[in-house]
Order: sequence, then structure tokens, then C-alpha cells
Amino acid sequence: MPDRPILSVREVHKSFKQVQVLCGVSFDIAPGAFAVVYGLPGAGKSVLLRAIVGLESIDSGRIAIRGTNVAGVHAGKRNIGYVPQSFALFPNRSVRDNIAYPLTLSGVDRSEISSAVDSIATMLQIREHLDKLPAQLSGGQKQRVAIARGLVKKTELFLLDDPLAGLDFKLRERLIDDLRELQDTLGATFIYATSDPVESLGLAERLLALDGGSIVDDQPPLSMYRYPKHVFSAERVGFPAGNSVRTVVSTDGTRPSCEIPGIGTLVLPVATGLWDRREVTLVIKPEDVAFAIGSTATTSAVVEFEAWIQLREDLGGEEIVYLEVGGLPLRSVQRRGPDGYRGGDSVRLRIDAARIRVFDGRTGVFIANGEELIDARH
Amino acid sequence: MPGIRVESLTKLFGSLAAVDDLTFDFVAGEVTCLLGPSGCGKTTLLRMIAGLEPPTRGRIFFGDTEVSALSARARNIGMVFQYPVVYRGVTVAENIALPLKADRVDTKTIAVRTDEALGLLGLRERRDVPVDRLSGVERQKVAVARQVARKPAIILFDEPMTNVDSASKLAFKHSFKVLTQEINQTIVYVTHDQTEAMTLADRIALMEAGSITQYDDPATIYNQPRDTFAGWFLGNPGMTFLPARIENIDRKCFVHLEHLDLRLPVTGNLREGQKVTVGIRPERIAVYATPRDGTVGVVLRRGSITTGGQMILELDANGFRFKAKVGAGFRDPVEGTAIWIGIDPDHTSIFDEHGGSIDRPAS
Repeated sequence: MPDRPILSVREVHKSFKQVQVLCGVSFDIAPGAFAVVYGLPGAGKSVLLRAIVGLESIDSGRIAIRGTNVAGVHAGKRNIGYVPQSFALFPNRSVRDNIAYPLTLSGVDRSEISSAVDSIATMLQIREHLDKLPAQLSGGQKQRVAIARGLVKKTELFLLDDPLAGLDFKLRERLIDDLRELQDTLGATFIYATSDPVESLGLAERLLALDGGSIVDDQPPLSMYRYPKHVFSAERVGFPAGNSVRTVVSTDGTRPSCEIPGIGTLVLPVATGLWDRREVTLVIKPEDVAFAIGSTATTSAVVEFEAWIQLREDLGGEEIVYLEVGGLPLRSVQRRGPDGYRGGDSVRLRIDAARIRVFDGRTGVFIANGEELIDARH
Repeated sequence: MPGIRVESLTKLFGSLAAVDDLTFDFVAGEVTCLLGPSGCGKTTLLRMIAGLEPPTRGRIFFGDTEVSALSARARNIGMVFQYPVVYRGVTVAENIALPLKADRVDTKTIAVRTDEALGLLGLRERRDVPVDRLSGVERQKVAVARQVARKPAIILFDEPMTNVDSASKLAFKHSFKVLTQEINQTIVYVTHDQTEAMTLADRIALMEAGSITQYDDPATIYNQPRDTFAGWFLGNPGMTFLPARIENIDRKCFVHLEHLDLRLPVTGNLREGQKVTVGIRPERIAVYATPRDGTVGVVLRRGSITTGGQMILELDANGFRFKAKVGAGFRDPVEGTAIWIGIDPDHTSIFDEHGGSIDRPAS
């Protein structure tokens, strides 16, 4: 029998004045999971986390923690460790006292506090700073103190609201590894909100995509990347963002196709659900926009076209090329970009319709996958 | 258009050397990105060049002219900050023209330079729009145009994209690229974002703890890091480091990767028994589903998607954990299964026990 969920969220609605922020959020979290709530800035991630912690009321719906409906249960009684998005450390108290604060507040005895602080500070590699004041620490160290303060609590459910926001890129890389390790060591449930797609793909065991006030996709990260169930996850779960084109299906032949200005006619190798004149959004991952230099199309599913290079971004290990065709921006990522081309040049591109994902133009719901992903190049 | 030279430049904050006895030349007419983590001293260095921060010791030259004693104003520098510095309530064109009027440039020249700067930043269509109506990234472009029109000796950028939202970063980078291809200008650009530096710089000056530790074009700094810090700081994720020892077998020199129990033939100034670290870019590790000649089996712990559908693999070799990066299209990982990796010695860097790169003749 599967474990009883440690957290169950059902049909949660929340509005601020006239603005609906959450409209029917539902999900269950199993004990021990590392769940990431991913959404764009302003999607309502913080509101959702604050509602679970008990810092925000909900208009309707139900939140159950460890099997108990927490409506009316004060935040302090919900037994959740919480790292808020914007943290403030007490400037006049030592790092040790800052971390110990939630325990002091709930009257835990001193020796227990001391050992709990030592152990979390060791895990987050700030033990040698315990007797310093926050002002003596670097930005990254302060962030670790704030994380430690949220995680020091003796509980098995932790909520982290974008704790790495605003940190140096390299520091984040390191903290992502540390946080995963830490969750593993603690054996606790983590619910973690972020608007960074790579961070969410790197951290999550389970990814919940929050868009338009509800969870539009909910899968392990790898399958969400491969088989997104919603146009939002298809576009936004991944870096750089997927290329999307709004268009209309036409079926004046045996197969459905779409006419895209500047690109040409894409014959879609799937038929189900693609009736004539259906409005759809096509999403093409940046790695599927290939350079077709000195070659010609091989099958009818492949289209080739000219596009303009706007900017090349060579990151060392891979290159992002920003392009434009007929007013449509396109992004391509390849291990190596096209030799000898620069910004302003036109270059020949190739898209294989087998790699395109099709979504309903109005609801964003998944319709068809060009083809199962081609397996193992290696 | 002068270059910049700093000599024995030092800035102490209490006992901490933010910039530590730095002697360095910024090449004239190039974009140099000062890249490093928070607290490495890059902003302090920039502010000393600008004349906004007095050095504790040392001298600063623009070309052959010493500017150490000159005020910020007298140094004839253009500066772009994290927040766009613009005049509210006036149009884009007036924003560019007003500083020129203050400098008593003649009206005709003002018109020419304003139009030129608008063109360089792609702002001609926004000429008559009040800046208050512009987006954040457009305001930052106006701030850049103002500096460009003044034709200062040097333009300094202090993390100009900090407050540009991620969707607009491309627009700013694009404008910056177009601008720097068109004008011949000495530019120093401070950032902690390695991708920004890789894209925008002619050369990257990598800073750590108050010193410039490497100064090279982006491809060289990525492919030939001078120390483990450069290897780690550049790349996403940074370099994979493997502890190793030098062994001589039959008069041939090998580096023995201890955890992988893999011996790679190497040349260079290496001595028997020497402890070294072998660095390899994660995407340079060859990964196979089945064993092949020269590969070793490791345990796949986890795989996660990163830029462009590539996958970061977390691997375990006899308890030692490290990362490899495979291209989009790699089969999805099954945790706990074996995979085989191969390392081409030509794609590695070898670092001594202090983390410095050991020179090796090309093999």
C-alpha cells in the first residue's frame, strides 16, 4: 500500500481583491519526496507555500498535513520547517542565535538546541561561523544561515521558498547539490518553490508546474521534459525556453499539416486529434532546431528554411544561437554552433516534425507528440 | 583611445585586501569582462579605475597618462551602473543630448552624436518617447547611449544586467554586441555571470580574492584553465576534478586516476609519485552504455536535464562522486546501473597540489 500523503492539497482557491492567484490547486505529496513547485515569477508559488505553512488564509479548498485538515490550525502548530523567500537575519545576534531562533521560540531546551544547531550548521558548512554576526558573512553564507534556520526544526516536512534567488550562479550550483544531499540525509519531505527551470530540473524528484493558478503538469522532471502534458511545461521546463508557434491545422491531404510563415509547411506525422482548422500551439525544443549547412532535406517530415542569426552565445560546452524568421524568434542549442557565421548572417535551419509537440491553442492541453523520442545515440 | 594600466594597486578594507597588489594591463579597444564571485574585488577594482574609490596604494594610467590623482570627473570616463541612470521626465533623445550640452559641445555635433548613439543602441524609433514610458531594459540602453555619445576615453559597466529581467537580457546582450562591434572603445565590464562574460568579452579577466588569476579570450579560459578555480568557475557545471598520481611504467609517464583505476599516458613536467588533480570538462567525458576499449565502469546515480536537453550525470566510482554531461538524445538513466566512461588525455588539464595547471606539450 502506498504511504499516506504527508501533504494533501485539494481545490485550493485564493484571490487578492479581484485577482485570482490560486484557482483550484490540487496535489498530494508522499513522505520523503523532494517536490519542486515551478512557475514563473508571480505565478502564486509563494502564496501556495504560505497557505500550507499557515501564514496565508485560503478562500476555499482543503489542506491536510499528516492526514489532518489544518483549517484553523495556527502556523506555529503545523510543525513545518520553513525557509521564506526574503529572509531577514537579526543583525545584532550571532549566527548561532539566528539559527536557533525557531527552537528558542517553541521552548526547546538548551542542550537540544545546541546539538540541533551544530548538526545543521555542519551539514550546510557554516559551523565555523556560528559565533560571528551576520554582517561578517558573505551573501552566500548569510543565505546558508537562513536555510539552516528553516531546517533546524525537528520535523519531517520542510517548505523552501526560492531560497537561492539572487545568489551568484556558481554558488547556486553548489547549494543545489548540498540541498539534495541534505534532504537525502534528513530523509525528510522537501517542498521547494523556484522560477528557475534548470534549478527545478536539477533538484526535483517530482515536478509540479504551476501556471494560471493551477497545477498544469505533475510528473518526475525527466518525463515532464520528454513528455510535457501542457504547453506551459513544454515551453518553460528547460533552458533556454522552447520555441512555440501558434497556428492552425489543415487537413487537405492524407496528413494534417501547419503552414508557418517563413518556415513553410510542416507535415505532422500524427493524425489523432488534429482536425481541420483546429487552433494549436507547436512547441519545438531548442535542441531540435538544427543547422542544415551543406545538406538537403531527407524526408517530407523535415523542413528547411533560412533564418537570421541575432546573437551567438558560446557557453564553452554548448552554444545557444538566437535566431529570427519572419518575425518569429527561435532559439537553438547545439554542442557546437555553425562555424563562420555571426550575428546578422542568414543561416539554413532544419526542423524535424517528428520532434514537435502539439498542444491545444486555447487550453494548452497536450494533443500529440511528433514521435517517441529517438533513443540512445550512444 | 587608451588602454588601462594599474600598478601595484591595492585596496584595504581594514585588514582585508579587496584588491591585492595588482599590476595589470587592460588592452585598448577591447571589451574586458572582470569576472568573479561575490567579494572577489572586481567592483572595487572598477570603482578605483573610475575614481570613485581611492586606492590604498598603487597607480592607475590611461594610456601613458597617470590618472591616480584625478577626480572621477576629470578622468573622462563613462559609467553604466546596475540601475539605469537617466533623467526622468525628458525624452530619450534629450537624455542623450543633455550631458553633451553640459559639456558645451556645439549644437550641430550634439545632433550628430545623439543620432549616432540612438542608432548604435537601436533606439531611433524611441527618440521622442519620455524615458518614463520605457521598459527597464530600454532605460538601461538609454543609459549606455548617453555614455557612448559623450565619447569618453573608457566606458565601465558595473553589472548592468542585474536589474534587467531574464526575458529582456537577450535584448541587452544583443545591443551590447552590436555596439561593441561598431565602436572602437576600451570597455571594462564587471559581472559574476560566466555566461555573460563568455558571450560579451573579447577577453575575460578572472578574479579571485583580490587578484586576477587568468586573462584570456573566452575559449582559451574555458579550454585551458590556469588553475582549478578557473576550471570550476567557468562551465555549467564546472570542471570535473579527479585525484590522481603520476606513475612511470617502462619509461613512459602515466597519470593514474585512483578512483577509476584508469591510467592515461601523459607528457610534461611531471615526476614519479607526484600527487595531481586531473580536470576534465564534464561534456568531454565519453559515456557509453556498454564497455569498450579503454573505458571503465561506474555507477550512474542520477541524471538531470540541463541546458538544451543535455543531461548531467552524477557518477560514482568506488565511492568517489563526479559529474559528466551528455548530449540531448542520450538514453534516460536508470539509477544504480553501470555505464562506461572514457577519458581522452588530450581533453584533460593536470593541476599540481596547489591547484595550478601543469604545462604539457601537445601530444
